[in-house]
This record gives sequence, C-alpha cells and structure tokens, in this order.
Amino acid sequence: MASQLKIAMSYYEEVAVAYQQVLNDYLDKKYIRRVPDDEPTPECQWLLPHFPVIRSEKATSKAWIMFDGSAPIEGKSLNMEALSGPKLQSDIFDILVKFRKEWVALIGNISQMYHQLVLLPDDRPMHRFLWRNMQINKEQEVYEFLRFLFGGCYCQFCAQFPWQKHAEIHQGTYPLAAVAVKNHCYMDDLMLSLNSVEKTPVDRDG
Amino acid sequence: MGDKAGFHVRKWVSNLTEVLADVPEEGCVSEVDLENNELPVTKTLGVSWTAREDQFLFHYLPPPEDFEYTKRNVLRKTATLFDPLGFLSPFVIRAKLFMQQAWLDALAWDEVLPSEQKEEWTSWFGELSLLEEVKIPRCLKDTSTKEASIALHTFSDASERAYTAAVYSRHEYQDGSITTRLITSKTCLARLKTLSIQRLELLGALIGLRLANQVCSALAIPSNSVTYWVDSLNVGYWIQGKSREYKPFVAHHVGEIHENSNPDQWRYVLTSLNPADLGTRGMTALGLTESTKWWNGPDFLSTSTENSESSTS
Repeated sequence: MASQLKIAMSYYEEVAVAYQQVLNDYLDKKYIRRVPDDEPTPECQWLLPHFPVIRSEKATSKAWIMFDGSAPIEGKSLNMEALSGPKLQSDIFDILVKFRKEWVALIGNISQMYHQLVLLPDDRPMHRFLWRNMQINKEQEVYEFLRFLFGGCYCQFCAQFPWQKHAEIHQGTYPLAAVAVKNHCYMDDLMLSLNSVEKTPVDRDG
Repeated sequence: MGDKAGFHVRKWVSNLTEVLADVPEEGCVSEVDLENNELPVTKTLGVSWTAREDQFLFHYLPPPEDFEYTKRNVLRKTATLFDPLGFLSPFVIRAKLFMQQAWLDALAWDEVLPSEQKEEWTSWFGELSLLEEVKIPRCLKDTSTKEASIALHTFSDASERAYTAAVYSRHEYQDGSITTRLITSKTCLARLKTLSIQRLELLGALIGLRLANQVCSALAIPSNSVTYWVDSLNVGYWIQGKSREYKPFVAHHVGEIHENSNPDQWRYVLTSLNPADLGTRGMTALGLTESTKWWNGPDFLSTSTENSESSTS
C-alpha cells in the first residue's frame, strides 16, 4: 500500500513539474504575463479554469494544459459569448482521400499554431487564469494570455484566416505551398501527396 | 513561407527520404534518421501512417481486466476507434449492432450488461489487437508503372439491420495491368422503425452515391467515371424507371440519384460478389485482415472486361 502511494505521489509530482514547466515556458516566450497585484482590474475579465491532460504514451511533454473556454460559470462561458466564425478548412475526409492520390507523401505540423497569434489588448483580460506556482500556502496570482490559446471556439477561424491569407499573398513565390495550405491543412496539420519529387522542395521553407 | 508569417512548420515526414534531404534535421520528426534511411510511424488526424512502408495502420488495446461492461463504458471504449475513411466498417458494424441492442433493451448507462451481450462485447474487444495486421497502402495506385486511367466502382448493400456502401479505385496502367483498392466505406444502422429491405437497399445506393461524389471532388475526377453496383433488382428497376411513378419515399431518393448520376452508370452485381455485403453482415478482425474482397473488391474488377460476371440490370 505504502509503495503504491509512493508511485502515485511521484506520478503526480511528475505531472506537477510538467505543468509548471509549461507555464514557465509560456512566461519566457511572453505568451502569458503575470498581472501585477496593483494593476486596476478591467471592467470585464474572465478567469479560465484549467487542468492537465496527461499523455503518458508521449516521450516529450508528459502533460499539457487545457484551458476550458466552454466551462460555464453562473450560466455563462467564454465560448457562449464569443462568435466562432466561419469554417475555413477542408474536411478530414477530403484531406485523407487527397493524401492517397499521388505517390509522394508529405506531412508536417505547425509548431504551437495558436500561440503565434497575438490577442488584441482589449481581448486579453478575457483570457486570464489563476495560478499559485505550486505553493499551496500562497495567495493565487492572476496571469493573462497575450496570445491565442487552444480552447476558445474562435481560435480555429482566427488561426486559419492569417495562415491562408499569408499563403495567398505568397502564392506567386510558393505556388505549391499555397495549395497545400488551402487544401491539405487541418488545423495545425499539413498532409499532402504530390506526383513528383522535384515539386516538393518549394514547400520546404513554407 | 511559413516562417515569414510567424508560423514554423516542423515534424516533416515523407515516404521518400530524398524529399526530406534538404530539410534541416531539427525540422524533421525526431525519429527520422536520414543516414540510416529510417522513417517513423506518425499519427496525423488520428490516423497512423508508416512512412517507409507507406501504409496506414491501426493499433488498439483491449480494455483492462477490471473493465466493467456497462453501456457507458463500452461506448467510450468503442469511440476510441477512429476510422474516418471506414476501412474497418465490417468489424465496427458489429459493435454498432451490439450498441443498438443495448438501446433496444432499454438498459441504463451504468447498468451491467446481461451476460449474453457481455460475451459478445468481450469477444469483439478481444479481437481489437488483431487489427494490427491490417496494412493499407497509402497510395491508391501502383507507383512502379505508368498509369493510364482511373475509374471508381461503388458497391452498396442492405440487410434488415444495416446498409453499407464501399468505394473502390480502379487504375489501369499502360502495360495493361490493373489495380483496385478500397478508398472509403460507410455503414449506417437501419432505423428501428422498420423499412422494407428494398427501401433500405435504396438508402444504401444513396449513401454510395454521396460517398462516391465526395471522393470524386477530393480526387478531382469527373462524377461520370463512377460505376455503381447494386445487388437488388428492385433498386435497379427504380433507377432505370421514371421517378414520378413511385411513392414519395422512393421518388424522393431516386430523384437524388437521377440528379447526380446517369442511369447507365448503375449495374447489377451478384450478392456473393458484392463487397458491401461484408459491411452489412459484419466480419471478425481476422476475417477482415484476410479479405481481398473487402480491400480490393471482387475479382471481376481486375479483369479488363469489367462486367463479365454480371449483367446490366
């Protein structure tokens, strides 16, 4: 029993360490900021509940943090109030069928796609959360996202739009990359097949 | 281009190492070792793909020993099977039918299933690990010979409890050889309000039509390159006839078929040769892995006179 408890404790400690690491990384990259205690609270703010999603099968990033935009508090949630925007991306079905068409297969993934997008200053207070840096006795501190995050219903549209817009702007220089972004991309995953190797390097820098 | 926009694309993988040759190493999936010609298994959009063999794979674990067989738990476990193209339809339809039975018996979410149903589920879950033997070529065509033409063949079938459609690609090459491969399939349970088998066959034909048209638009091939095969003479007759003469249900559905296909595209196939029949009847995981009829369609598709075994209805 005691040894089982030990295993459980060390397991949770691992998750706790991973959790704190993710937040430290966000602070370093300026994806989030600590809201100073003396900063006046804006008229409108929203505190997002968060919890770990544990992926024991993954070698890297043992846990990632889910910020729940759909969690209702007093009958309201962030996602109920925000507009989700139109659907810009192709269906999974279409992308997979296209992926089977030609003999050269290529896949890629956009690194932390949503965190590359800066939130407008007015929207930032709607993306706050509480954290006490693993110190149980400490008063909770307020943090705020400066970037988009996974969990808001509008993020998919807000990420797809600039991604496709950039593809459009640069389609003269990178015609194949532009097609890949427009028709072979599902959220942050790219998945395409091509009929020759010569054509592929164009996509590389994209 | 992505970097200019502030998006950094990484984890590049291809079935050809030469494609990745000029991608900086840190941009590849960590397991890609270009010098040893090793390519990894990746999971994109929930689908596992091995780059080197260029195949789709499935990997599922049976439930743990202390698994409680309740409606909630079996549904949760079944939902982990992600198969957007319907490769595993003949296997998955069995679980859908068990689930329907649990609903018919009006069991509560957390009630333990009766022993008979529990046994069905246990054997179905027990087969999950056998799905590892399923290896589906990623590319629809053979890459070693030059292709001359592509056509689609869609099969549909129905039983009292379910209806199925399966779409196959048929590539004919310049040297005269032919390959056929399953592109996608779909199965639906028959609604509990009983419809006649003939009407269910018509619904099967209809999902076949919609599925084939979706494939045509994804592959950018004309919709008249599809041949539709049904094993119901009645459905064939309805489609060849004029939809105005039928009862509303038939007229409505035949109308959609006429809008999106030409009656000449519809043909009759014997039930024994119809791969969609496997999707309505269900198969064991082992049977599925070994079924060339499911993965490549009936043999007659690979002969040059493609309808030698059947007749136009």
